[in-house]
Amino acid sequence: MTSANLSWVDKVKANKKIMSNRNLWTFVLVLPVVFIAFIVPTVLWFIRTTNYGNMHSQSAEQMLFEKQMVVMRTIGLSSDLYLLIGALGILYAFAKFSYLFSTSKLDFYLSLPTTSARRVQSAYMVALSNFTGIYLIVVAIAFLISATTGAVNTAVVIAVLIQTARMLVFFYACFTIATLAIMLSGTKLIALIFTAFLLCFPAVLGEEFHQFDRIFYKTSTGYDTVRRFLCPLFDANSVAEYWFRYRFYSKEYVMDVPFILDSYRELFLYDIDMILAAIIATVLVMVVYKRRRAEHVGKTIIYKPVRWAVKIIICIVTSLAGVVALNTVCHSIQSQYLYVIFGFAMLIICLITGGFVEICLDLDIKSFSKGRRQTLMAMAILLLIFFIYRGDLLGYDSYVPTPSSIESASIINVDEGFGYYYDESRRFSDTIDGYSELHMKLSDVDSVVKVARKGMECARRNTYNKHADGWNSIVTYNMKDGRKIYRNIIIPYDIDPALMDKLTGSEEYIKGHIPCFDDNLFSEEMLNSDLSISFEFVYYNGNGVADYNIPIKEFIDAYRQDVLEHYKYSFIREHSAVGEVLIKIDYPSYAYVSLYVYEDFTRSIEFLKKHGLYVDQKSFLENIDEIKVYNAFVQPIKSVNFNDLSEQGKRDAFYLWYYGRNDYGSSTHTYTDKGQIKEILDNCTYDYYVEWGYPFDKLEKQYSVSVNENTQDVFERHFSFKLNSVPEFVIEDLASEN
Amino acid sequence: MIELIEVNKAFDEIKAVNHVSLKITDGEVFGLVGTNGAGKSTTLRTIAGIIKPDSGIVCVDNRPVYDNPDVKKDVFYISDDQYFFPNSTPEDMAVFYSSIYKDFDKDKFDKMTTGFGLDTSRKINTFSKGMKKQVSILLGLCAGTKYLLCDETFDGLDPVVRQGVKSLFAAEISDRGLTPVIASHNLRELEDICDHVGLLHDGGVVLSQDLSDMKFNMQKIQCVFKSEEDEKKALEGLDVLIHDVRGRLHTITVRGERTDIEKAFKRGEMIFFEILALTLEEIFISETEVVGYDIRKFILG
Repeated sequence: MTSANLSWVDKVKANKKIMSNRNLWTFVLVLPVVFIAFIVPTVLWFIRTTNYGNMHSQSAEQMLFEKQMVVMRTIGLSSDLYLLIGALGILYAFAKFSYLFSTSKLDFYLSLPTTSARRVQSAYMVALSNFTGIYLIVVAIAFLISATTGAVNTAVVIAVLIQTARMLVFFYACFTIATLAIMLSGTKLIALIFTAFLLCFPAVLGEEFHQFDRIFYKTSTGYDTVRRFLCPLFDANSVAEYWFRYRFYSKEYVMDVPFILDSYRELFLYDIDMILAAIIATVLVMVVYKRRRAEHVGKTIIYKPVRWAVKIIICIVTSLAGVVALNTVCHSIQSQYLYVIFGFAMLIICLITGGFVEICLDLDIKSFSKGRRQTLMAMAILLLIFFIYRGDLLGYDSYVPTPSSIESASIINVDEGFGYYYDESRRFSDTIDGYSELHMKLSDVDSVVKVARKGMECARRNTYNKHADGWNSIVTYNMKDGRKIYRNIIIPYDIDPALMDKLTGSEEYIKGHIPCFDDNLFSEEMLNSDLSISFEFVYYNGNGVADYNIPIKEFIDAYRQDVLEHYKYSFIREHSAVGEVLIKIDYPSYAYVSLYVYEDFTRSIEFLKKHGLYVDQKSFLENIDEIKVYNAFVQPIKSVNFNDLSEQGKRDAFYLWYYGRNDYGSSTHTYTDKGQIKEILDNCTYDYYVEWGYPFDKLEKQYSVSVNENTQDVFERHFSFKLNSVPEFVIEDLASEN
Repeated sequence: MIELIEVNKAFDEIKAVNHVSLKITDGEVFGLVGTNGAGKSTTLRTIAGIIKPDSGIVCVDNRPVYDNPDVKKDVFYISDDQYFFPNSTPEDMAVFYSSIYKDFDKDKFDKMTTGFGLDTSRKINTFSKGMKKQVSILLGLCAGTKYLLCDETFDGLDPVVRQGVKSLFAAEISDRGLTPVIASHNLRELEDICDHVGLLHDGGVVLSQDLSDMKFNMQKIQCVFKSEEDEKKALEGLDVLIHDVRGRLHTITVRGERTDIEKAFKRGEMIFFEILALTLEEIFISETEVVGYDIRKFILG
């Protein structure tokens, strides 16, 4: 009896047996793993969440939210088991296509009456249906468990559906990329390495170029979005990172549809990239399988052009990594000499890598010197990259967008300014920690661009000490096309004050710069709650007074009016602060804000006086019995006395001393005579320039005056002499080293 | 009919098949002989549609075979190192092949395995090399395909099984016109089963002829001539392929029909004259020596 005569039942039975034999292992292996990874944590986290909630008497609202977060963590958008899914994708690809590495298996399969296209389609269908089946079963079980705890609402359902689709796409992308690597390789080991290469090299290369921006470009901030395309691994990592941050910083207890959709919109592009990578890999698989021949078994990489491309890319990736590593070791490139060394090191790394790649591809140590043309090509590309970066041929350091393309912009003072830290603000901010990054949206982009041009010019000129030439800032452009561009600029000390006043005196700047305008932090709800909020005014004598019963809202209102009235570049630059108000909130999210108070902030000072937090300067000075004056520049600098130097010369010398590079000899003198103390203090000003500081045009930075209150041993406050106001007896007393 | 016309296949710089042209007629047993690396397996794999030739035509019943499932339904390929599913039994493989080849005869397979003493429920990976060969041959015979390609199939079979397999081949040929193509590096394996033999060396066909034609057109004579004059008279005008003299005993291989040769030898006087049966080996030695090959080096080991 031939099989043509078999009954339908017999045929089904026969096929069932074959199918179960050939695919059983995947169920046996994969199902328990996926089950343990998704179901067990779901159950354990539900138990833990319920117990924790009961122990801490959580509100019903919070308890529900915590349960919803369990669903999000296991099968929802916050699930981060991408590595497992990716590994399974690779495993399936190797299971389905490993016959390509064995002549006997290949002879068996290729001699069967089917086409290669049908064979590949069948392998795809079996792998995808197998995994999809397992994954959907597990998600369904986890979902049912979640439903029994009452954690499921529409938002959670949408989150689970989106994540299920994303996981399946990610699996498919990894499976197809691994399949492509298998199709292009002749041995299992090389295919495995090649899979890792295809999955990782876009991310590695993107990171290296990002690091190169930081190494070579003076205006690079490191905050720019790193360009990594067609890299599902990076996409998955980015999505996981986003939700990891949310998981730990969110205290909103809201899980509704708009929140899910808003979050998804932010991550949508990663999914698109994942899908694109999968599509391109699929097309390549379709192209390659048609050209794959039985005789390719045992080769390393079967096509010469692919082999060359792989070698060149590996050489480039390794050499660029070498430069990044060298830069890390040397901290930063600070001289032309180091650039030359880096360039040579890069070429040598390329040469050695090229040899090693040949050894690996030929599995023969004698092949070290083979493939010189590809190595030379890699070296040429590396040199091109090096010169593009070194010569800034793409104009990175001079790029300023046209104002018409900018939606809004911000200028963030990164070194100085108002202290700010708020957990909640970190939730969606993956760039600069601080208030301005999130809140400043300047519509006067023309002024921003003018300042940015000056700032970039200054940054390009700058050697290594940013403070020698101006104020270090970051300009952020929110482009109309959705991109966000960051540049590090140095606003020169000689910037046009009118331009700066126009920019910094605007309500948009003030509200985006000074954290008293954070409506989330200083909301009615927050200020009227029973939360533990500490209010402290630190006066310039160092005395701080903390109070928990201060009506903060009243102070914030007064302070807001003061800054709106006074704050601008020229005001801050000319005035020294008298102290700062520190507001700390410990719960539910930790927050910290420092707000500087100036003499002209009458409403704020009035408030502080009303609550006994403000100390009059006169009473402070009356208590001084002793004063110390310190001269850091006794010796002349290149035969010129410090005082005779130009403003720029003073600045350069000051920072060379300040950072401990140069020592010009010093002297100290202590004054106890009340008359001398009065004369010194009459010619001094409190050196508390919060922003736009380093007033070399207003102060004598050669001397510093230290005051110890007789009632205070701990705090030592520093004053500076006003320009050209150093008393003669001070100059004489401190003229020689002691 | 299987037809190869000017087929070339190179693996990098090595020409595995070099301008090979063969014609395998239905119903004949075709032997493909050659040393290791002569191109036998490559030729068989090309016929099975596993390897795509660089140039030339490979047709099975006038249809190209590569990536053509309709043609492959008529061809069963038994490789030198046949693959079986992990942990599978002969029964499992038979079930698998029955789902692939519509004419697979499961009952016949069961009978044959019983006849050969093979346990169909035992895992194949526990079988000896020879037993695995037997399973693969039986699967191939029961697949019901028109062509059966066997690569070094008789290696590892003991003489009894080998004889049994040969009988099965003969039965299949006579019952349903099976056309086996058998590749071997050993001529003696093929001697009593092949109708037609192709000799491959360095990727090229040195010789391809019907065995019966070869035997009919070549004679081996042992004789003792009375004198040198008689020897000259007897051999005059004959196509002598090999002439070996030991003492006065001459062993001469001559191309030609038996009656013509007998007639020619009668021209000289002989003390002793006998026409001997030629083995396949001797035919090949004779034929290939003529074209400059010493076949003993690469076929007979």
